[in-house]
Parts: sequence; C-alpha cells; structure tokens
Amino acid sequence: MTERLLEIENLCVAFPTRSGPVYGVKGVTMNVARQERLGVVGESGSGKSVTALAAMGLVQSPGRVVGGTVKWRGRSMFDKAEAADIRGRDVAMIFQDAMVSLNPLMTVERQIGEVLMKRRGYSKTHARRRAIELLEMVGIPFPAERLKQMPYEFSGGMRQRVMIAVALASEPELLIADEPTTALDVTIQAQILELIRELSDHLGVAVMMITHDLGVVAEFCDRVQVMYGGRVVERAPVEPLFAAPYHPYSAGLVASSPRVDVVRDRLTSIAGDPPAHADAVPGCPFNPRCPEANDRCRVEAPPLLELQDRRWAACWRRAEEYGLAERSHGLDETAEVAT
Amino acid sequence: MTDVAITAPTTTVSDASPLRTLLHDLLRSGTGLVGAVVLLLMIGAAVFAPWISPHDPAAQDLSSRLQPPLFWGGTFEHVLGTDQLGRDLLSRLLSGARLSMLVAVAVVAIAGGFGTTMGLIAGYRGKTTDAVIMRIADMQLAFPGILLALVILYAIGPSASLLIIVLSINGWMVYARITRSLVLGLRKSEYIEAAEISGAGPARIMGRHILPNLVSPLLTLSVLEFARIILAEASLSFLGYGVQPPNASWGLIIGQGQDYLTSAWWLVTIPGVVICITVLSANLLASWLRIHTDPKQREKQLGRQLDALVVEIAKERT
Amino acid sequence: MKRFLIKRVLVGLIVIFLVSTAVFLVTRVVTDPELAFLPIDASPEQRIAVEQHLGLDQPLIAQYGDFLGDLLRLDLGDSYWQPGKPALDIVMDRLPSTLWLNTVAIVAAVLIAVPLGTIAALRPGSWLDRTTTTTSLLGLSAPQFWLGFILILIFGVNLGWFPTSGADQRLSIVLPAAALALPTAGKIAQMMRSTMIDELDRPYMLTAESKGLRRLYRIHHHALRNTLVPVLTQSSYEYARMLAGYTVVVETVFAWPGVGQLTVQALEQQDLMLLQAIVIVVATMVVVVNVVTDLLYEVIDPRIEAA
Repeated sequence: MTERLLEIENLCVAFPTRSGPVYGVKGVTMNVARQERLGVVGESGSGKSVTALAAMGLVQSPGRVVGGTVKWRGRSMFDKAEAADIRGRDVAMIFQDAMVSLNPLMTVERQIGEVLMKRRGYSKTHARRRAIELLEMVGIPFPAERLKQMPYEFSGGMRQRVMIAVALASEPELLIADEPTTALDVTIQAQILELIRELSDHLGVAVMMITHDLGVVAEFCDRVQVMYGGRVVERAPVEPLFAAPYHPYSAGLVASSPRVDVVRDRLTSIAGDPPAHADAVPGCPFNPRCPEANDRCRVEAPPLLELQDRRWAACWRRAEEYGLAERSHGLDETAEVAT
Repeated sequence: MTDVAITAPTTTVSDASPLRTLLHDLLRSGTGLVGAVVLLLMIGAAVFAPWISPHDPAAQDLSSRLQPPLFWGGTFEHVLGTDQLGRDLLSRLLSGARLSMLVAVAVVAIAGGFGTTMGLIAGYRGKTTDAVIMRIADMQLAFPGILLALVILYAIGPSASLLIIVLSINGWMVYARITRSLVLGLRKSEYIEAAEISGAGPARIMGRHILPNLVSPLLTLSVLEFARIILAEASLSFLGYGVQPPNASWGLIIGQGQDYLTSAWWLVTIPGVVICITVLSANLLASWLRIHTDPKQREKQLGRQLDALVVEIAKERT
Repeated sequence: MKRFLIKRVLVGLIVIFLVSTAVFLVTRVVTDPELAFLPIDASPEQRIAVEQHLGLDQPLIAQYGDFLGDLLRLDLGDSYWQPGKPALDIVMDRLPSTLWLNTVAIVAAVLIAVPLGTIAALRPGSWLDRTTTTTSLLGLSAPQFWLGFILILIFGVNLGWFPTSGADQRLSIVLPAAALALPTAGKIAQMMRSTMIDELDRPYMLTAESKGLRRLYRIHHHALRNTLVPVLTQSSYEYARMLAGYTVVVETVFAWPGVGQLTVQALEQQDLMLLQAIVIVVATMVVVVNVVTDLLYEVIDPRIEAA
C-alpha cells in the first residue's frame, strides 16, 4: 500500500453565529497517499474548503477546529510550530482567485523567491534563476521579463499559473488546490488542469483537488470523496463512482451532469437545498432531498462504512443492502484499515 | 457516531429590534459606554448650566482674584478657582459648555443637513450632477479652512452666529462625500434594482431603502464631526475671533488665561482638560459605533462564543 | 501619468484662483480696509483720499481685474503694516520656518504612529490594543494650542528642558513640534491600526501563511508594506492640513516666527494685504502638497492608473 501523506481523522470545525456556534465540518475522515490525485467534491457549504484549510492548519478565525486530528506523515498540523514547518516545504496550497490570493503590490519574483530564500536558504541570484525555471515550467512565456511584474499585469489564466509556480517553489509532496479553475474561462480551465496533471506526473506531486465540478473530478482525479452537509458521504475510486454511485446524493450529482454522449430532453436536478450547516437537519443530512429516505434516515445520521472493497458510503439504505446496518457508535470504525 | 450537542450560550441576544440590540451591546462594552456616558454628562451639564452653576459666570470679585482650585489649596467657594477678575472658573466653564456645544451641534446640523442632501443628490442623480457637486466639494476641501475662517471672522466681525456659518461652510464636504459613496454602493445592490423595477419612485426608494442604511454611518460621522467642531471653535475663540466676551467658551477662557500660565496655571489647564474629556468621549463613542454597525466586525466578536463550545465538547468527551 | 498630472495641476490652479477670489472679496467688499489707516474721527475727505490711494474707489470689476493681473505677476500688493514692503516678500520670509516646523512635526508623528498603530492591530481587542487606541484618541482629542501650553508648563517651565518661545536655540523646535505632532500622531495611529487590521485579513496573507512564512515576516514584508501606502499618503494630506490650520495656533503659543504667527500679527495690525498674501501663499502650498502626494501615490500604487 502506498504511503499516506496526509491523514485527517474525525475532523470537526465550528463557527460562531448569532444564535450560537454551528459545525461547518463534522467528523470528516480522509487520507491522501503519495502521488495520489484525490478529489473532494461537493457544493458550496459542504465543508470542502474548510477541510482543505484545516489540512494546512489554516482554519481562520472566527472558525475553529473543535475536534479530530490532522497529521502530515504522523506530525500534527495543529501544532503551530510543526505546521509552519510543513507548510511551504511539504504541502502547498493554491486558491481560487489569484487576483486576491497574490500580493497585489509585490513582484512575481519576490512572491516566488521568498519561499526559496526563506524556507530553503537560496541566495537571491539562485532564487531568481529558479523562479525563471518555475515560470517556464508553468508555461509563462518570456519569464525573465515577467519576473519584475505585478499580478495585475497578468491575465487571469496566467495569474493562476503564477500561483501554481509559487506553490511549486516549495517543492511540495502534496498540492492542495481549492477550486483552482472555478474563476477561469472554460478553455483556460482545461489548460490549467492539464498543467496541474503534467506537473503532478512529472514531479510526483500528490494533489488534493477541491471542486464542485464533477467534470474536473472525472478529468483529473484517481479517487473521490463526496462531501455533503459537512460530512463525507461517499468515497470511491473515480470510475466506479461515475459508473455506479452508491450514495443517493452522488447519484443525483452524476445524473445531473450534462453529457455529450447521451441524448436527453432535460437536465435532471436534485430537488431542495443543501443544509446551512452540519446539524441543520436531524439524522442523515441528505434525508429531506433523498428519494430513498426511510424513518431511520430521518432520525440517525449514518456513519461512513466500507460496503465493498474501497467503496464507502454513509447511507442506511446501502448499508442495509450490504448487511452492515447494525447500529454503530463512535468513530468511523473501519478507518484504520484502508484508505 | 454520536452527535455532539451544541448548546447555545445563555448570553445570546434574541431577535430584538436593531436599536435595542445596539443599546444592549453598548451597555456591555467598556470604552463605548464610558464615552457615551461622559458625553451625556457634559451635554447635561451644558443644558442645565444656569441651574447648577455655583456662581454667576460674569460676576467679578476682585478681592478673590486668581484663587487656586480646591485641590491646590483653594476653598469650596470656588472649587475650580477663579480668574484674574475673580470670576468663578467652574461657572464660566459651565456657561462656556453651553456655547461651545451649541455651536458644535448647530454646525453638525447645518453642515450635516446640507452635506447629506448634496451627497444624496450626487449619488442618486449621478453623471453631471454628481461630477459637479463632487468637484466643488473636492476643491473646497483643498481650501485652507481655518485661515479663511479667521479672515472672514476678522473682516465681518466675530460673533457666535458667524462662527457657526463659517464652520458650516467649511464642514459640509465630508458629509457629502460619505453619503454619496454610500448611496452609490447601495444603488448598485440588487435590492434597489428590484425596487426600481417594481415601480417604486425615486422618493420612495430614497426614503424606504436608502436612508435607513445611511443612519449608522452618518451617526458615527456626526459624532466625529461634533468632536472636531468643538476643537475648531476652541482654536478660533482662543485666538479671539470666535465667541466674544462677555460670552464664554472653553477656548476663549484659555485665551483669556494664557497670560497667567505660570501664576494661575489652572485657568489654562482645566478648561483644556474639559475639552479633552468631551472630545475624547465623543471619539470613543464614535469608535464603538463604527465597530458595532459594521457586520464584518461583529463576526470577530462572536468568535469568543466558540471557546465556550470547545469547553462544552471537552466536557462531554471525558 | 502625464494626463493625470496635468489634470491635477489644473484643478490645483483653479483652487488657488478660487481661494484668491474669495479672499479678494472678503478684503474688499465685506470690510473697509481704509479704516486701518484712518484715525477714528477722520473726515470724509480724508477717507476718500485714502481710498484713492489704495485704489479702492474704482469699480469692483476693475479692482478685480487689477488684482488678477497683479496675481499673475506675483504681485500681491504692499503691506499696510510695513508700508513699502511687498506683502509676498514678508510671507516668503517667514515661510521656511513654518515649513521646517511642520516637516519635523509630521515626521515625528509618523515615526510614533506607525509602530503604535501596528501593535494595536496585531491583537485587536487586547489590553495592549485598547491602551494604544485610547492613547491615540487622547492625543487627537487635545486642542493643539492647549497641548502647547501644557508642554510649556511641564517641559519648559517646570523641568526647564526646552525653550518655550522663539526659534533661536537648537532645541526651540522640540515643544512646538510636539504640540503639532501629538494629535496628528493619534490620527495616523488610528488610521494605521484600521488599515492594518483590514490588510491582515486579506486572502494574500493566507497565501503567505500557507507558504510557511513566519508571522513577523508576513506582517513586515506583506501587510506592513501594503498598509504604509495608503497611510503615508493620508499623512501627506495631514501635513497639508497642518500647514493650513493648526500651525497658526501653535506658532502663536510658542511665538514661533512663521507664517502662523504672522497671520495673527496681520490680524492685529489690520493688514488686509498681508492677510490676503498669507491666504494665497498657504493655499498654494496646500495645493502643491496635494498634487505631489497624488503623484507619488500614483507611482507607488500603479493599480490606480490601471483601474
């Protein structure tokens, strides 16, 4: 079995509101292995971005981690000193909007170079050379001239490439990408995804791709975690997930994706709205919108269970079908066994 | 997997009206409350001055000139001492409070009223009207205000009314600019677009949708401006071109006392302390208002609720 | 950039023109300048004679025309108080002292305010923040002239460390500069604090943190640099405001031989020509500072032009 790089276990993150604190992420468990391309898919509010931030130990106030662990090769990301050491060296992150995620008043050279100089002790000249290399690697033409430019002088797609270059400067083993293509034009999206895939192959970097777009998942990922209502509701390798989704929500998502190869009159969608937070709905978070919900679903939230080899779902109906519907309490029991 | 119950903290505020919520928060804040209370005290003292003054502020008594304040070897007769003409300082300060505050309130009302109206027109009409009004405001902002005020006051002859006029002319611009940018921001919101589409006329939109959103920022601004005018009037009166004797204003009292700086230091020091306290309270109140009417800042305050949650969870786990 | 510069200068010139007109009106129309030269019981003939001498018997339009013409030739008339001396010269004589005083004051203010504001921003709501904030607010709540007196009392008279009037000694500048600087420092510190708090919250700071850069480094190289841009430009505008207003009272309190003190002297001497010259010169200075600041801001934050 390939090494695990990142291990998130039973993560719980809460946020304060006027009517009291609520969970944004509840009991999420997932792992990323070396060179793996993991997709984390869900709609807005599913908790996927918060999970990504927690993976870096970067949950922003007023939100706070209130339970669970996140470990990088066994080291806790909640230990401030460890986390600061791991970030920018072993794990790097890229964000959705490069316009605001890059310092608007700092040159590209500096933004790439500071990681090299501060974290890896490069000299200024060495850093400059390496920055040019990185810009070339991410496909920016005339890199030497563009070093001294500021982010606003680049187009959207180019800016995203710069952000990738900044992330790669750390020579990470894992790249966490939070909706890296969402803010871009469709054609550029494809280019950026292609770039990330090439880089991942070339440099052996694992990628944790956070997205709401199933197309991205299908294109890019090896394995998928589907999130809903602050929880992981399904976990599977990508092809089996698309071919035969277990959880009714994943089934809904797959069914509602427009397809070129099948003739359909209308697009299907999932009726209803996602919950505002992890405890907004009693029992299984998906039950109000689920065509298969039964009484148990409405009362008790199902745990994420491995129903078949490498196929996990948090659904009582599926669990019943596989004979695993006995009551289970506490943590996700089968977590230690497989990814 | 057990669901951990989240208990809401008992100090949560219910969905009361915004004003009550504001008052509730004010009572629980530290500096904001201090500011509000002190300011109210000052205003109260000014309003009730004639009744609470121990002496007639204009009464001269040359036999007890330059008496020190109580804490510096003085008597209860003149708690804050007397000036070179034997006038009781406390009474003069109270009388001065009236005039200083009156000027400040009047200027805030006039400049604020005019400026806000200009800002509303500029923001709502847009295009040329906006450009013209803002140009005028910008240019006037570049004028050396106090200097011109001095020259005008000197030329026409200083008086409290002229002072109010001059300070108002100098002060409308900031209201206009802020109102205008608020209106522009609001206009762009879909909320207003929806109202416009549903046929509401400009006056109605203005009244029901735009104005209520202007109240908090303008309130904060008015309190800040109040503070600034108190200082400006003090400077002008100190120089002798503001409030004129026999009337009193805090600045004027300092001006009249400056020759006695080393011999009767309280004549200069105490009025200044009073000005300081008044202006400081206004600033504290304004700071608090700014934070508490800005939704983003509220979020940070609510972060403390989470600590309670963490403790709850920790307890449940053991 | 050129277009921006030209536009700004043009607007500035219009401002100077408007201010000049305003002061012209005030000194000719609203008041009777000739009264300064006449004894109380002057006869009508004497009055007319003086009016003619001062050119005040001409129709207003003509006077205005003359005024504008003179203005373009930088002739602001002769002082009443010091006859024969051009008002402009008297003002220019005093200008360097004022500029020097104000410059020292603003530099001191910035040097105090930037660290103060930064410290407050790093832990909003903490006692450190509250103390620094209250101190800043206290500073900006004090009337400058009063602050001057307090400084004189404490440091001049009681402790005897600094001179309390005039500009003869090397240390003469300390107290007046402090009186000017402290309230401004309070204002700038507040500005620094709120800008910094906003800046620390921005997404690019998260990116910087995700690179594993240390907190001090992030604050210094990312947040601080970006915060200083708007704060320093605001400080520049404060400088202009200092020149235009507060300097008058502070110079008076400390008998500092600058344009501010000159203003009060001109008022006492009823020298309207001199007052006119002072107002025009100060307005020009303010415009110059504003234009230069706008330009520098342009250069430092090129996004403005790109936007």
